[in-house]
Amino acid sequence: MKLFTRYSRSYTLMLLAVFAVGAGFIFLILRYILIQQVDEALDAERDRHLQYVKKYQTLPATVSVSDLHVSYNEVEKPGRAAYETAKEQDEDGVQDYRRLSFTVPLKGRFYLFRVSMPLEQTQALLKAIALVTLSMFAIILFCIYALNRRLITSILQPFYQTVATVNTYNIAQRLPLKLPATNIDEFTALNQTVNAMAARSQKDYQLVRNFTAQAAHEIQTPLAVLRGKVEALMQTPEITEEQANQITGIDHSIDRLTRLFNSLLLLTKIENRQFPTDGLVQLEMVAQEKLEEIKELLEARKITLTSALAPVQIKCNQYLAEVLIGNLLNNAVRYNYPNGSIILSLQREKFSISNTSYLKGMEEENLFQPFYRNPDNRQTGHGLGLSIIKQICLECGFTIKYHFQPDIHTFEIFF
Amino acid sequence: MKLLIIEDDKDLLQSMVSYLTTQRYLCETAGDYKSALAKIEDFDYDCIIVDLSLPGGDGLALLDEIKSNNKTDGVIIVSARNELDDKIKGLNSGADDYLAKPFHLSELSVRVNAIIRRKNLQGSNLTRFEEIIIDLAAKVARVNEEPLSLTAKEFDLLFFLIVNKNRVLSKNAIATHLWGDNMDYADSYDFIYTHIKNLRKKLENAGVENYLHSVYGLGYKFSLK
Repeated sequence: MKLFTRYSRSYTLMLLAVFAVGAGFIFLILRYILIQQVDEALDAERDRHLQYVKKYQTLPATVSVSDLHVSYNEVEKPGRAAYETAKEQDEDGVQDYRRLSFTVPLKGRFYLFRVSMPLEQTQALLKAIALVTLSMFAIILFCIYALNRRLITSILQPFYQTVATVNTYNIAQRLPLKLPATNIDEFTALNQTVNAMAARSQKDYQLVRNFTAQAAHEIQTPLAVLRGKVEALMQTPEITEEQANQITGIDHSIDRLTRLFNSLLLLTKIENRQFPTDGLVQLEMVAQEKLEEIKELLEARKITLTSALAPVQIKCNQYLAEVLIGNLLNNAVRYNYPNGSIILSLQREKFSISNTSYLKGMEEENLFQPFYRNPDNRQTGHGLGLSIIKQICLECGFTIKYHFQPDIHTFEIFF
Repeated sequence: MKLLIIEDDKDLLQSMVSYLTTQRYLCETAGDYKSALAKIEDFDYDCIIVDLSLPGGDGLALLDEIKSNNKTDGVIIVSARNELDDKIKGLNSGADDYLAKPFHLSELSVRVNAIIRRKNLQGSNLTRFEEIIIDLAAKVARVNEEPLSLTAKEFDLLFFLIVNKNRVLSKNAIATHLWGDNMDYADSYDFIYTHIKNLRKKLENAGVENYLHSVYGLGYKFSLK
């Protein structure tokens, strides 16, 4: 629920309650006052009748005019004067009347007089007042709503700005988060806190980044030593088969480590934006070159290649473009089966590569995770190839999509 | 041929020295920036192998030194910082080649050889093994003056084998030399076999003795015996 909705719901309910109570109260008071006035008129009427009876010692004629009904009948004993509101018949039909009953003594007898006046005018007045009051309330409510809406929207502006800025903030861009101070203390405090948090994350992120790069660097010299020693070991005369196997095993592991660290370094470098991506790259040339490199491999595995490469120039980095196409092609060959096929297509807005594979379809979200391995994977890849591809696409502003139809894996890159 | 190897890691230095010594190079060493500078200033070398990160200074600064002294020494950078920038900077500063760690010693040796051949203007451009002569500049291999018809890969392979003669070369090292780091070794072993087979056949047809020996479980070796 939006803050404004929540807020306006609360205060509308509250205002309605206050207005209801207030309106009821006003209505009752007004009604009391108005009826009081009618009662006074009735009192005057009673006094008139009493004086008349006293003066003339006879009962008056019971003439009922439209706004005054008078009637009496004889009773056995005097009663107390009483006011009441009742319905009476007149020329307009049944209406509310205010009636005063009082006893008049005359020559030892008692007569109960009833004088009544219509409440029509009073009620019409009350209605008018109620209507005016209600419309006033409605107008006030609407004004408050509109005013609050504008006010809150404008007050919340820095908040929305903060949310939008934080939303688009990418820690990998290595820029400090600069949320401005506002004229509202709370938001300024929020912005300062978020700024500080971003700076902290930024620092931690850089530490991890540098650590990865540093570790990958530091490992290269010991790896070079290992490689040298293994090569020296190979020169030993009279090596047994068992020894040869062990030496080869070490050699392969060194090779895997080398590839792993090189890929880690590359990934870190791309993330650190060490490759400017504003160069123009003739992508079909890159693809041609890479195809040339794997030609032997394709022939050896009897993989059919179909390629349709239109001349396309994209904004990227020459080296990154080479890695991108190279990695995709290598995967297409590596996870293919003998006599399989690869289909390449390069058009103005997209590059796509489809290949047969012994691997089943994969979830797109897992696919680009570093070190993710398909359970059926029989190769000794380092598990960073697709992460690197994804990272390059991110850096260059491309989108990469993967889909799988039975037997065919397809990667599409949209420029 | 005199080499200067500047590397601060003693184990690696020792490996390089012992490998290159068997290749008949005279190797001198320096373990830090200062001693390296002193040796560069005082002596001439055919080739200098320099590590970029040295105690006491940056290897790139040594390159500037070599340049300003008007030395014609060939320079190979070996670096753990496999950075494109470093490579470009290094080559711009007058280095002849750049090799990222961890490298194969056989690869280092073939690069050293190539640089010395290139720099050695008076001397010959030829590498010889018995009746096989390789002209690196012309990219031609001859047997008894008869050129061998080799593919580019076969020529590379032969040069690599001959430069590293009498050494057991792993398939891994051969694959890296022929295809670079991009190809997975598992992918490339079949091709090495194919290329070796073809090369052997061509040498045999040219009447060359079989110098190309398989070393069981390890790789190949180019030697008299």
